Amino acid sequence: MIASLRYEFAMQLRRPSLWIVYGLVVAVMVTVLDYWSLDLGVYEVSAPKEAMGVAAQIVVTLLPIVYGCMLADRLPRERVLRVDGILDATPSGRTARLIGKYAGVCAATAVPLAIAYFGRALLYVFVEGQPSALGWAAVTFLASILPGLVFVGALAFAGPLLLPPMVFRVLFVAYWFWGNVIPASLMPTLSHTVFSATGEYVRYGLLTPIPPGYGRASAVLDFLRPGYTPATAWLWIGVMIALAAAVLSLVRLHASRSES
Amino acid sequence: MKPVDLWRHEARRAGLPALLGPPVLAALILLLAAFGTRLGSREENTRWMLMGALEMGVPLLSGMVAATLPGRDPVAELRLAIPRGYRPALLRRLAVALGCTGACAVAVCAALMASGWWTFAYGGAAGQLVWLAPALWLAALGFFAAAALRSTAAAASLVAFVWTGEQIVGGALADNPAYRLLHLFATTSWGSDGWPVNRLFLMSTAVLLAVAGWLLLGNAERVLRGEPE
Repeated sequence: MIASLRYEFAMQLRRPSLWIVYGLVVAVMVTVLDYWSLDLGVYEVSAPKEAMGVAAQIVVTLLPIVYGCMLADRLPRERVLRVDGILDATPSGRTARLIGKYAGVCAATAVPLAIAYFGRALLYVFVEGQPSALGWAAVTFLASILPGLVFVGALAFAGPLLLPPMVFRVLFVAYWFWGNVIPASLMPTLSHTVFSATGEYVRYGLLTPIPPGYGRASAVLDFLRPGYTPATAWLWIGVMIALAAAVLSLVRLHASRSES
Repeated sequence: MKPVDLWRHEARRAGLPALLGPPVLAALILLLAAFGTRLGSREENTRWMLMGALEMGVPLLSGMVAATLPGRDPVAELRLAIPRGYRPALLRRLAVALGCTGACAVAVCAALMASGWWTFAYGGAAGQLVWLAPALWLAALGFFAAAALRSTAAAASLVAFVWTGEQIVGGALADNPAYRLLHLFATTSWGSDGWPVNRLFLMSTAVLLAVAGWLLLGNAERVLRGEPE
């Protein structure tokens, strides 16, 4: 497992296109969006904790699209290159290889995302002179961004097994927009629920107070949108990890079926 | 080989997903138009979603198709060596896939106009620019990115990011005159104010992107040195 994790991590991290795409995307975020000012025209950011929360919100709204699309071709790769038979003949177990590959690919694809986020935190430290921002950035990243990436990573990793990669990418983008970004009142959607991967529950339940004016009209599926409390924040983290484990178990089951 | 055989071959190379996606989207839009009210959606909401599906769904499909198709030739060496060239073959493949998308979009537009759902200020042939301009722009971006980055995943990621990013920043940058020219979803975001100029600007920049992609694909060595899987 460790060997396949290390290999997949290094392979994905050395893909030039990964860095080019993330670079272009972050350049757009910096020039077009308010990734510098972090106020988005809505927030009054005075404390490092809130600033890091807004930075997390911007990063987690836009960058998981790139994260998901860039790792969507990794699982079918061995079949496409026809090396799956050789890998199956090695003494390493299928489950260990699958988990190692998943962890390695996801970790490598999240590296540029983490650089974009912690880079902003570092800049905040120098500009505002508040070193505590780095600590808050680490906490926010671990609690509010990482669980979402664990789930989205499992989804994008497994999706191309069932669908051709092109169809999967279209559906993934549509899912991200429908299930995580749009306002809940527009149509029945998973966005702003405990199944949404944007980490809102941890940001507002555990870390920062809900910004003023952040009201929600009543919408369909509101029973999936409990209030922001520390308990629901932990529930969200649990849901994300459980969903990722469920998706990976399905992948393993799929592999066992194709074995026989 | 007769021309029709060449076209048939490229249709097969485009693949079923690229050819079946547009009819499925068209069917979903028509189903929403027919049953939206019965599902409990308000009329204005349904109207916005129908235009949204046309202006956003069709470009997403065409952008992804254009980003995916250039990088799918396992024997590219052979294709690059034949006298008729690689680029015309690729163009045929894209024309088949995007033509299918276009035909479905025209049919949906005609159905919406005939059934009274279409209340946008520009109708008829000009109304087709609702989907055509953003679809061409995203397709050109996907084509250019696939040629420049030589990686399907990277090109698809860029198309996906631009598509999502444009939806998110559309409201915030409504007063920026430069952005008003380049916004892909001007119909559903802002309505008909400055709409023709936006559409013309999108189409002309799409041509520039497509020409740049075409020139990049002319370099056979570059095409062969594509990113390993």
